[in-house]
Amino acid sequence: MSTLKANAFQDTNGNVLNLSRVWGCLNTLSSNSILNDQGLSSFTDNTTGDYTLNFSFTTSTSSYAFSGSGRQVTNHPIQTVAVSINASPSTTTLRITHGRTGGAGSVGQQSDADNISVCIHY
Amino acid sequence: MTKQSKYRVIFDDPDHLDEPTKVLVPSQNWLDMAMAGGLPPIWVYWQLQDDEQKAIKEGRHSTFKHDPEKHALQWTAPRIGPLTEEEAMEYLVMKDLPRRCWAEEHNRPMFKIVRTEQVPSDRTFRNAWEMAA
Repeated sequence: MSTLKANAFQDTNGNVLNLSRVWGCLNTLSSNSILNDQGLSSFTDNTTGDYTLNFSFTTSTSSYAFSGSGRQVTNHPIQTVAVSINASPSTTTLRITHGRTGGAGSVGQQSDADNISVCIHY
Repeated sequence: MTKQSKYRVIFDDPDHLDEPTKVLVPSQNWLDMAMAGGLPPIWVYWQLQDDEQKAIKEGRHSTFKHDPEKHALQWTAPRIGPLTEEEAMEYLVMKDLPRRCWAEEHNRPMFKIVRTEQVPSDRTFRNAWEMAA
């Protein structure tokens, strides 16, 4: 079997094809661990629901797309991940927050979770 | 779940000492790469960090793009060779912790590399964690 190594891909018209080169699944609830990842060297647990992703390589610009999600739990039907207002995205790190919104008798709050998925596209 | 590192780094940010102690969790995939000898010299990352910090100070971060030659060094610079897990953790401190935590003198240590089991698993009072003396 051959291994294909490349840092950039193009279609037949010369358009750059961007791959998602950084993703990770984090457990911040009990074990504080990275369940699996690609392109992360570490993450920093800043406080409850507040984390910094540290990329294993530096991106060329900080203008990348980000997506993330968390797993639904009882009484908190929506778990969401957002880019933190505490720090601008950089080419080496991205600070994010995880929070719960809605739910019976509950107001929104920053929270930890056992499965936070994040993905960076650039 | 992938295998987990034996180590974590706990640290305080000297610029934000009112914030709770932070915990840096290494990626096992990255550690495996470091221990297999896949890392460039640390100055490759520092050079890129310095260029970005300069762009932030000069107010041009929104349009900033790394110099292609310096950026490519991440993959083209000669590798530094295999590291032990402990050496890889020290490399990670110099790469991922704010430089003010480890490169400047303070009246107490701003970071410690600790065993994973030394970090509390009970997060009830997470926002009150402080680094023990």
